[in-house]
Amino acid sequence: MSESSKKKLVVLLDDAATIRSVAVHRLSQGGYEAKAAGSVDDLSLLLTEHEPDVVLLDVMMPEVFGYDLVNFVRKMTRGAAKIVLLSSLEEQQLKQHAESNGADGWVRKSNGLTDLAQKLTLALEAPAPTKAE
Amino acid sequence: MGGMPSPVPGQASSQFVNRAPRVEIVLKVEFESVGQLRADFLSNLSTGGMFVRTPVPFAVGQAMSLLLSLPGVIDPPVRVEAEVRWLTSDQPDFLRGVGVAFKSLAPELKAKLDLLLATTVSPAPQPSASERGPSTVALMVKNPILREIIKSELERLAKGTAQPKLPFDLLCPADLAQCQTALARSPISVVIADADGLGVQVTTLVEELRGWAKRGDLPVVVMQGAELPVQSSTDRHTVLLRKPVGMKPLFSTLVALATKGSA
Repeated sequence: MSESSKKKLVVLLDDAATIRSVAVHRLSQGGYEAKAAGSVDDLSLLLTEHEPDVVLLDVMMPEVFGYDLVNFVRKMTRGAAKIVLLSSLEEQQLKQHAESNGADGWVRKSNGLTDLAQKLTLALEAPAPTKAE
Repeated sequence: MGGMPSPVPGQASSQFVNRAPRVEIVLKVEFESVGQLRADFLSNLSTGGMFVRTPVPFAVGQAMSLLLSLPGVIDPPVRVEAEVRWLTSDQPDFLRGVGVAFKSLAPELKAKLDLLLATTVSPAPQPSASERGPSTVALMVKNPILREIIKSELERLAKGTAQPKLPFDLLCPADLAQCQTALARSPISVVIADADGLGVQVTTLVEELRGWAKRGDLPVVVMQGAELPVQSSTDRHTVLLRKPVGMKPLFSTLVALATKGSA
Protein backbone atom coordinates (compact mmCIF):
# COMPACT_ATOMS: atom_id res chain seq x y z
CA MET A 1 0.00 0.00 0.00
CA SER A 2 1.46 3.34 -0.96
CA GLU A 3 2.04 6.12 1.56
CA SER A 4 -0.65 8.34 0.07
CA SER A 5 -3.31 5.64 0.20
CA LYS A 6 -2.83 5.41 3.97
CA LYS A 7 -3.79 9.02 4.45
CA LYS A 8 -7.21 9.66 5.87
CA LEU A 9 -9.47 11.53 3.49
CA VAL A 10 -11.14 14.59 4.96
CA VAL A 11 -13.99 16.30 3.14
CA LEU A 12 -14.49 19.84 4.37
CA LEU A 13 -17.62 21.95 3.94
CA ASP A 14 -17.13 25.70 4.31
CA ASP A 15 -18.69 28.54 2.33
CA ALA A 16 -15.62 30.79 2.70
CA ALA A 17 -13.14 30.19 -0.12
CA THR A 18 -10.21 31.43 1.95
CA ILE A 19 -11.00 29.08 4.80
CA ARG A 20 -11.34 26.19 2.36
CA SER A 21 -8.00 26.95 0.81
CA VAL A 22 -6.18 27.39 4.13
CA ALA A 23 -7.84 24.37 5.71
CA VAL A 24 -6.98 22.05 2.81
CA HIS A 25 -3.38 23.27 3.01
CA ARG A 26 -3.17 22.80 6.79
CA LEU A 27 -4.77 19.36 6.66
CA SER A 28 -2.44 18.26 3.87
CA GLN A 29 0.54 19.50 5.88
CA GLY A 30 -0.77 17.56 8.85
CA GLY A 31 -0.87 14.25 7.03
CA TYR A 32 -4.43 14.17 5.77
CA GLU A 33 -5.74 14.12 2.23
CA ALA A 34 -8.28 16.91 1.98
CA LYS A 35 -11.01 17.95 -0.41
CA ALA A 36 -13.29 20.93 0.05
CA ALA A 37 -16.85 21.83 -0.84
CA GLY A 38 -18.31 25.33 -0.74
CA SER A 39 -21.97 24.40 -0.71
CA VAL A 40 -24.29 21.58 0.21
CA ASP A 41 -24.59 20.71 -3.49
CA ASP A 42 -20.80 20.44 -3.82
CA LEU A 43 -20.64 18.39 -0.64
CA SER A 44 -23.25 15.99 -1.96
CA LEU A 45 -21.23 15.55 -5.14
CA LEU A 46 -17.99 14.91 -3.24
CA LEU A 47 -19.67 12.37 -0.98
CA THR A 48 -21.01 10.58 -4.04
CA GLU A 49 -17.60 10.44 -5.68
CA HIS A 50 -15.44 9.68 -2.63
CA GLU A 51 -15.53 7.68 0.57
CA PRO A 52 -14.13 10.05 3.16
CA ASP A 53 -12.93 8.98 6.57
CA VAL A 54 -13.91 12.33 8.05
CA VAL A 55 -16.39 15.02 7.08
CA LEU A 56 -15.68 18.41 8.60
CA LEU A 57 -18.77 20.63 8.64
CA ASP A 58 -18.62 24.39 9.08
CA VAL A 59 -21.49 25.38 11.37
CA MET A 60 -22.25 28.80 9.91
CA MET A 61 -23.35 27.92 6.39
CA PRO A 62 -25.60 30.28 4.44
CA GLU A 63 -28.54 27.93 3.88
CA VAL A 64 -28.59 25.61 6.89
CA PHE A 65 -26.49 25.17 9.99
CA GLY A 66 -23.72 22.61 9.59
CA TYR A 67 -25.01 20.66 12.58
CA ASP A 68 -28.32 20.15 10.79
CA LEU A 69 -26.38 18.31 8.06
CA VAL A 70 -25.02 15.59 10.34
CA ASN A 71 -27.76 13.09 9.53
CA PHE A 72 -27.63 13.88 5.84
CA VAL A 73 -23.89 13.19 5.81
CA ARG A 74 -24.38 10.08 7.91
CA LYS A 75 -26.80 8.74 5.29
CA MET A 76 -24.62 9.76 2.34
CA THR A 77 -21.56 8.05 3.82
CA ARG A 78 -23.60 5.07 5.11
CA GLY A 79 -22.19 5.74 8.55
CA ALA A 80 -18.62 5.13 7.45
CA ALA A 81 -17.28 8.64 8.04
CA LYS A 82 -16.65 10.47 11.29
CA ILE A 83 -18.49 13.77 11.33
CA VAL A 84 -16.85 16.73 13.02
CA LEU A 85 -18.23 20.26 13.43
CA LEU A 86 -15.98 23.22 12.65
CA SER A 87 -16.73 26.70 13.94
CA SER A 88 -15.49 29.73 15.80
CA LEU A 89 -18.36 29.38 18.25
CA GLU A 90 -17.53 28.97 21.93
CA GLU A 91 -16.33 25.52 22.98
CA GLN A 92 -19.40 24.86 25.11
CA GLN A 93 -21.80 25.76 22.32
CA LEU A 94 -19.97 23.60 19.82
CA LYS A 95 -20.00 20.69 22.24
CA GLN A 96 -23.72 21.15 22.75
CA HIS A 97 -24.40 21.23 19.00
CA ALA A 98 -22.26 18.13 18.48
CA GLU A 99 -24.02 16.28 21.28
CA SER A 100 -27.56 17.17 20.33
CA ASN A 101 -27.06 16.41 16.64
CA GLY A 102 -25.02 13.24 16.89
CA ALA A 103 -21.71 14.52 15.52
CA ASP A 104 -18.55 12.63 16.43
CA GLY A 105 -16.65 15.69 17.55
CA TRP A 106 -15.92 19.36 17.09
CA VAL A 107 -12.99 21.61 16.27
CA ARG A 108 -12.79 25.33 16.98
CA LYS A 109 -11.45 27.64 14.30
CA SER A 110 -8.63 29.66 15.80
CA ASN A 111 -5.11 30.93 15.15
CA GLY A 112 -5.59 30.99 11.39
CA LEU A 113 -6.20 27.24 11.41
CA THR A 114 -2.48 26.64 11.97
CA ASP A 115 -3.17 23.64 14.19
CA LEU A 116 -6.26 22.35 12.39
CA ALA A 117 -4.79 18.93 11.61
CA GLN A 118 -3.64 18.39 15.21
CA LYS A 119 -6.99 19.51 16.57
CA LEU A 120 -8.81 17.22 14.18
CA THR A 121 -6.66 14.28 15.22
CA LEU A 122 -7.39 15.03 18.87
CA ALA A 123 -11.11 15.36 18.16
CA LEU A 124 -11.13 12.00 16.39
CA GLU A 125 -9.29 10.33 19.26
CA ALA A 126 -11.59 11.78 21.91
CA PRO A 127 -14.66 9.81 23.03
CA ALA A 128 -17.72 10.63 20.95
CA PRO A 129 -20.03 13.20 22.53
CA THR A 130 -22.96 11.77 24.40
CA LYS A 131 -26.18 12.09 22.51
CA ALA A 132 -28.39 14.64 24.25
CA GLU A 133 -31.78 15.82 23.05
CA MET B 1 -30.09 23.79 21.07
CA GLY B 2 -29.95 25.25 17.61
CA GLY B 3 -30.49 28.97 17.83
CA MET B 4 -29.75 29.55 21.47
CA PRO B 5 -26.35 31.10 22.12
CA SER B 6 -24.89 30.94 25.58
CA PRO B 7 -24.96 34.02 27.76
CA VAL B 8 -21.74 35.95 28.03
CA PRO B 9 -20.17 35.29 31.42
CA GLY B 10 -19.95 38.39 33.55
CA GLN B 11 -22.42 40.30 31.45
CA ALA B 12 -25.47 39.46 33.46
CA SER B 13 -26.35 41.54 36.47
CA SER B 14 -28.05 38.62 38.13
CA GLN B 15 -28.21 34.92 37.57
CA PHE B 16 -31.08 34.22 35.21
CA VAL B 17 -32.10 30.66 35.76
CA ASN B 18 -35.43 30.06 34.13
CA ARG B 19 -36.39 26.47 34.69
CA ALA B 20 -39.86 26.73 33.15
CA PRO B 21 -40.53 24.33 30.25
CA ARG B 22 -39.12 25.85 27.12
CA VAL B 23 -39.12 25.21 23.42
CA GLU B 24 -37.28 26.53 20.42
CA ILE B 25 -39.84 28.24 18.29
CA VAL B 26 -39.90 31.22 16.02
CA LEU B 27 -42.31 33.98 16.87
CA LYS B 28 -42.25 37.45 15.48
CA VAL B 29 -41.32 40.10 17.99
CA GLU B 30 -41.31 43.86 17.48
CA PHE B 31 -39.69 46.32 19.80
CA GLU B 32 -38.49 49.90 19.94
CA SER B 33 -34.78 50.59 19.80
CA VAL B 34 -33.26 54.03 19.60
CA GLY B 35 -36.57 55.35 18.31
CA GLN B 36 -36.82 52.74 15.55
CA LEU B 37 -39.23 49.88 15.26
CA ARG B 38 -37.31 46.61 14.99
CA ALA B 39 -38.72 43.28 13.97
CA ASP B 40 -36.94 40.09 14.80
CA PHE B 41 -37.54 36.62 16.03
CA LEU B 42 -37.30 34.90 19.32
CA SER B 43 -36.53 31.38 20.29
CA ASN B 44 -36.11 29.28 23.38
CA LEU B 45 -39.43 30.41 24.67
CA SER B 46 -40.87 29.72 28.10
CA THR B 47 -43.51 31.40 30.18
CA GLY B 48 -40.71 33.02 32.20
CA GLY B 49 -38.77 34.61 29.39
CA MET B 50 -37.13 34.08 26.04
CA PHE B 51 -34.20 34.77 23.78
CA VAL B 52 -34.61 37.62 21.28
CA ARG B 53 -32.28 37.36 18.31
CA THR B 54 -31.14 40.86 17.48
CA PRO B 55 -27.88 42.62 16.64
CA VAL B 56 -29.16 45.76 18.40
CA PRO B 57 -27.06 46.53 21.48
CA PHE B 58 -28.99 46.40 24.73
CA ALA B 59 -27.84 46.68 28.33
CA VAL B 60 -28.52 44.27 31.16
CA GLY B 61 -31.44 45.65 33.16
CA GLN B 62 -32.85 47.60 30.22
CA ALA B 63 -36.61 47.46 29.85
CA MET B 64 -38.06 46.12 26.59
CA SER B 65 -41.61 46.39 25.40
CA LEU B 66 -42.24 43.48 23.07
CA LEU B 67 -45.03 42.80 20.64
CA LEU B 68 -45.30 39.03 20.11
CA SER B 69 -47.13 37.34 17.27
CA LEU B 70 -47.48 33.94 15.66
CA PRO B 71 -50.06 33.53 12.93
CA GLY B 72 -53.22 31.95 14.22
CA VAL B 73 -51.75 31.26 17.66
CA ILE B 74 -50.81 34.61 19.19
CA ASP B 75 -53.04 36.48 16.84
CA PRO B 76 -53.69 39.39 17.16
CA PRO B 77 -50.25 40.32 18.52
CA VAL B 78 -49.87 40.74 22.27
CA ARG B 79 -47.67 43.26 24.05
CA VAL B 80 -45.53 42.09 26.95
CA GLU B 81 -43.12 44.02 29.16
CA ALA B 82 -39.73 42.44 29.77
CA GLU B 83 -36.27 43.15 31.15
CA VAL B 84 -32.90 42.24 29.64
CA ARG B 85 -31.11 39.70 31.84
CA TRP B 86 -28.17 38.59 29.72
CA LEU B 87 -26.42 39.34 26.43
CA THR B 88 -24.62 37.45 23.70
CA SER B 89 -22.71 40.41 22.33
CA ASP B 90 -19.64 38.39 21.33
CA GLN B 91 -21.56 36.31 18.78
CA PRO B 92 -21.75 36.71 15.01
CA ASP B 93 -24.52 39.17 14.09
CA PHE B 94 -27.09 36.55 13.29
CA LEU B 95 -26.65 34.81 16.63
CA ARG B 96 -26.44 37.97 18.70
CA GLY B 97 -29.25 38.69 21.05
CA VAL B 98 -30.56 39.15 24.54
CA GLY B 99 -32.12 36.92 27.13
CA VAL B 100 -35.14 38.62 28.62
CA ALA B 101 -37.41 37.86 31.54
CA PHE B 102 -41.06 38.72 31.32
CA LYS B 103 -42.05 41.21 34.03
CA SER B 104 -45.61 40.02 34.02
CA LEU B 105 -47.79 38.01 31.73
CA ALA B 106 -51.45 38.65 31.16
CA PRO B 107 -53.39 35.47 31.99
CA GLU B 108 -54.61 35.24 28.39
CA LEU B 109 -51.07 35.34 26.99
CA LYS B 110 -49.82 32.90 29.61
CA ALA B 111 -52.57 30.49 28.60
CA LYS B 112 -51.55 30.83 24.94
CA LEU B 113 -47.88 30.26 25.74
CA ASP B 114 -48.76 27.25 27.90
CA LEU B 115 -50.73 25.79 25.02
CA LEU B 116 -47.92 26.54 22.59
CA LEU B 117 -45.36 24.87 24.84
CA ALA B 118 -47.57 21.87 25.45
CA THR B 119 -48.25 21.48 21.74
CA THR B 120 -44.66 21.79 20.60
CA VAL B 121 -42.85 20.03 23.44
CA SER B 122 -45.23 17.11 23.46
CA PRO B 123 -47.65 17.22 20.56
CA ALA B 124 -51.15 16.20 21.50
CA PRO B 125 -52.53 13.03 19.91
CA GLN B 126 -54.05 13.85 16.57
CA PRO B 127 -57.80 13.60 16.11
CA SER B 128 -58.84 10.68 13.95
CA ALA B 129 -59.25 11.26 10.24
CA SER B 130 -63.00 11.11 10.67
CA GLU B 131 -62.83 13.93 13.21
CA ARG B 132 -60.48 16.14 11.26
CA GLY B 133 -58.45 15.65 8.12
CA PRO B 134 -54.68 15.87 8.60
CA SER B 135 -53.04 19.25 8.18
CA THR B 136 -50.85 19.60 5.14
CA VAL B 137 -47.67 21.62 4.99
CA ALA B 138 -46.15 22.51 1.63
CA LEU B 139 -42.36 22.73 1.63
CA MET B 140 -41.41 24.81 -1.40
CA VAL B 141 -37.63 24.66 -1.71
CA LYS B 142 -36.18 24.78 -5.20
CA ASN B 143 -32.85 23.14 -4.40
CA PRO B 144 -33.59 19.39 -4.35
CA ILE B 145 -30.79 18.55 -1.94
CA LEU B 146 -31.83 21.21 0.56
CA ARG B 147 -35.44 20.15 0.15
CA GLU B 148 -34.55 16.56 0.99
CA ILE B 149 -32.39 17.62 3.94
CA ILE B 150 -35.18 19.77 5.43
CA LYS B 151 -37.78 17.05 4.85
CA SER B 152 -35.70 14.31 6.44
CA GLU B 153 -34.69 16.54 9.37
CA LEU B 154 -38.34 17.39 10.08
CA GLU B 155 -39.21 13.69 9.97
CA ARG B 156 -36.26 12.84 12.20
CA LEU B 157 -37.18 15.49 14.76
CA ALA B 158 -40.74 14.17 14.83
CA LYS B 159 -39.38 10.77 15.88
CA GLY B 160 -38.15 12.35 19.12
CA THR B 161 -41.62 13.50 20.13
CA ALA B 162 -44.47 11.74 21.92
CA GLN B 163 -46.03 10.88 18.59
CA PRO B 164 -43.17 9.62 16.44
CA LYS B 165 -44.35 10.89 13.09
CA LEU B 166 -44.97 14.27 11.63
CA PRO B 167 -48.26 15.67 12.91
CA PHE B 168 -48.99 16.89 9.39
CA ASP B 169 -48.68 15.67 5.83
CA LEU B 170 -45.71 17.14 4.02
CA LEU B 171 -45.94 18.03 0.34
CA CYS B 172 -42.71 18.94 -1.42
CA PRO B 173 -43.38 20.86 -4.64
CA ALA B 174 -40.20 21.38 -6.62
CA ASP B 175 -41.08 24.78 -8.02
CA LEU B 176 -43.70 27.49 -8.06
CA ALA B 177 -45.74 25.75 -10.76
CA GLN B 178 -46.02 22.56 -8.68
CA CYS B 179 -46.76 24.65 -5.63
CA GLN B 180 -49.57 26.43 -7.46
CA THR B 181 -51.10 23.08 -8.43
CA ALA B 182 -50.83 21.75 -4.87
CA LEU B 183 -52.41 24.86 -3.38
CA ALA B 184 -55.24 24.79 -5.89
CA ARG B 185 -56.00 21.10 -5.33
CA SER B 186 -55.56 20.55 -1.58
CA PRO B 187 -56.29 22.50 1.57
CA ILE B 188 -52.78 23.46 2.66
CA SER B 189 -52.41 24.64 6.26
CA VAL B 190 -48.96 26.21 6.03
CA VAL B 191 -46.47 26.94 3.26
CA ILE B 192 -42.73 27.05 3.90
CA ALA B 193 -41.10 28.84 0.99
CA ASP B 194 -37.44 29.35 0.25
CA ALA B 195 -37.55 32.80 -1.33
CA ASP B 196 -34.00 32.70 -2.68
CA GLY B 197 -33.55 31.98 -6.33
CA LEU B 198 -37.21 32.40 -7.22
CA GLY B 199 -36.74 35.80 -8.80
CA VAL B 200 -39.70 37.38 -7.03
CA GLN B 201 -40.02 39.73 -4.09
CA VAL B 202 -41.13 38.18 -0.81
CA THR B 203 -44.34 40.21 -0.71
CA THR B 204 -45.20 39.14 -4.27
CA LEU B 205 -44.42 35.53 -3.44
CA VAL B 206 -46.67 35.57 -0.39
CA GLU B 207 -49.50 37.24 -2.33
CA GLU B 208 -49.20 34.66 -5.09
CA LEU B 209 -49.27 31.73 -2.66
CA ARG B 210 -52.34 33.10 -0.90
CA GLY B 211 -54.02 33.81 -4.22
CA TRP B 212 -53.45 30.24 -5.40
CA ALA B 213 -54.80 28.90 -2.12
CA LYS B 214 -57.71 31.38 -2.25
CA ARG B 215 -56.95 32.08 1.37
CA GLY B 216 -55.82 35.53 2.44
CA ASP B 217 -54.75 34.38 5.89
CA LEU B 218 -52.70 31.36 4.76
CA PRO B 219 -49.69 31.15 7.13
CA VAL B 220 -46.50 31.40 5.10
CA VAL B 221 -43.05 30.77 6.54
CA VAL B 222 -40.52 32.46 4.26
CA MET B 223 -36.84 31.53 4.42
CA GLN B 224 -34.65 34.29 3.10
CA GLY B 225 -30.92 34.77 2.83
CA ALA B 226 -30.73 38.53 2.68
CA GLU B 227 -31.02 40.85 5.67
CA LEU B 228 -34.66 40.86 6.67
CA PRO B 229 -36.62 44.04 6.19
CA VAL B 230 -38.84 45.25 8.99
CA GLN B 231 -42.11 43.60 8.22
CA SER B 232 -45.36 45.45 8.23
CA SER B 233 -47.25 44.61 11.39
CA THR B 234 -50.44 44.42 9.36
CA ASP B 235 -49.44 41.04 7.95
CA ARG B 236 -49.80 38.74 10.90
CA HIS B 237 -49.72 35.57 8.85
CA THR B 238 -46.18 35.66 7.52
CA VAL B 239 -43.14 34.45 9.42
CA LEU B 240 -39.86 35.58 7.88
CA LEU B 241 -36.84 33.47 8.77
CA ARG B 242 -33.31 34.58 8.14
CA LYS B 243 -31.03 31.86 6.86
CA PRO B 244 -29.43 29.76 8.09
CA VAL B 245 -32.64 28.35 9.47
CA GLY B 246 -32.26 25.92 12.37
CA MET B 247 -34.26 22.76 11.89
CA LYS B 248 -35.39 22.51 15.52
CA PRO B 249 -37.03 25.96 15.66
CA LEU B 250 -38.48 25.39 12.19
CA PHE B 251 -39.98 22.09 13.35
CA SER B 252 -41.49 23.61 16.50
CA THR B 253 -42.90 26.53 14.55
CA LEU B 254 -44.51 24.27 11.96
CA VAL B 255 -45.99 22.00 14.61
CA ALA B 256 -47.50 25.04 16.33
CA LEU B 257 -48.89 26.44 13.09
CA ALA B 258 -50.11 23.18 11.60
CA THR B 259 -51.66 21.69 14.72
CA LYS B 260 -53.33 24.80 16.10
CA GLY B 261 -56.89 24.02 16.98
CA SER B 262 -56.19 20.33 17.42
CA ALA B 263 -54.66 20.58 20.90
